[in-house]
Amino acid sequence: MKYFTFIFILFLNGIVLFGQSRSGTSFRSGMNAIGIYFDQSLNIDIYNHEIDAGLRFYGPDYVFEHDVVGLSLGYAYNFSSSNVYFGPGISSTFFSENKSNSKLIVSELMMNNKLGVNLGQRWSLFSHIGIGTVFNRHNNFNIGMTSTTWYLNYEIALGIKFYWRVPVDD
Amino acid sequence: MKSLWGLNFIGAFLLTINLSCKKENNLPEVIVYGHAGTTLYAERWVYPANTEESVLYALDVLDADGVEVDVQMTKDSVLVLFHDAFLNDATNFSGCIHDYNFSDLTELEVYHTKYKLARLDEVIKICFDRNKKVFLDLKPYNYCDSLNINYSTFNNALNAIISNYSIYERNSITVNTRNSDLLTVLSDTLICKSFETENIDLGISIFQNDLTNELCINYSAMTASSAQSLMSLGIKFSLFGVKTTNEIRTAMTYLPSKIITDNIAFTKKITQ
Repeated sequence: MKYFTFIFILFLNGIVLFGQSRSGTSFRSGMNAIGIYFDQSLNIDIYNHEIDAGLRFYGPDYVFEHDVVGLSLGYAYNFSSSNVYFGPGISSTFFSENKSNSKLIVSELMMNNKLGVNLGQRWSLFSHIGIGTVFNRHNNFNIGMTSTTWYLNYEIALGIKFYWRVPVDD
Repeated sequence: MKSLWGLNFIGAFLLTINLSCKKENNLPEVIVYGHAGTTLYAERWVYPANTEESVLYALDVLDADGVEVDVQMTKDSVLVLFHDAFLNDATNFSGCIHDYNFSDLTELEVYHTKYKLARLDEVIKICFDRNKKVFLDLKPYNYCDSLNINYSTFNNALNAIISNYSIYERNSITVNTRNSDLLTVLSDTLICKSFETENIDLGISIFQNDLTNELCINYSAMTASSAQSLMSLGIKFSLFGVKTTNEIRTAMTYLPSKIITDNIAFTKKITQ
């Protein structure tokens, strides 16, 4: 019964928060030490909090031999002033590629700063710059060797966002 | 709701276009070497050129078949990795590598970074531990004194490193130089000797005099007809100076046996 009550309260909170949220999709393209990427994400904005999850594809790039699609996740806290918003955020991506004799896992962790402008209720243009790290984990099947490397990374990106759901009182 | 579907469709369409553009024609397999480790060009560095870290990144993360490295000799006959003629611009030292003993160079900051000067013996071990190949670009010249370094000493220093390795491993070493006299001094018969030139006729002459096993040619000096001539004479060649995707695509049409590339991932992609 305790669990049921807890879940029910969570559910009610979820409904209330979802009622105040904006949901949408965004497409952005950016550049970092790996290459140029294209990223399509689903976004949920709850008050000033923005969460996104999506897919990222690099091309052209300096790392992947194959056409690999990775997972991207992000969070940002947006301060807004009229139609302009800005704020810090963190993002991460995960890629896994099977090369001819090895497997490479690439993960990025970024801190970024976003600047965007709302174009009406449903459209928004944004850009962000970021700095972070890339972690590589590599497993060479031929010799059974696993190695890890990491290095500093930067990022600049431009994107467009469309909200298909906005709060009623917006 | 229609707008949502439209936007998703555009995104999916762009992704599909991008994926389809990446399909390349199948080309013959070549051995893909990273240029000076991963790349010689600073704007593409994850780690500076000719450092152990750059070699490890090329072999482990980018899965290159091997690495090309630039080899110079210190005053006390230690072979080290360094590209430039002078130390002044690229390090916190001045003069030339050959002016110093190796122990004097321990504080040298390669390209003004925290990374240290790499020893050839350690880099070769890294390559062979991973069952990879190595392409040594020998620079037996002291630009500060405008003098060639004693070839015999250079040869002895090289032999001291590679003589410990098996026949199979020594077979995977290519030794390249612009100096045909050095080729005559290199005594290890298992390594592959390569002569670097922009003059194709000179290269053919050196090959026909049995001084080299193959040629190494700058991409900018290569033409389709030159490649055809070399192939008709049965001369294998490697290409270097390939940086952009278009250069790599064109270089592959010349059918080199080895390619020294500044974009390992793309080169491997189009050779699959």
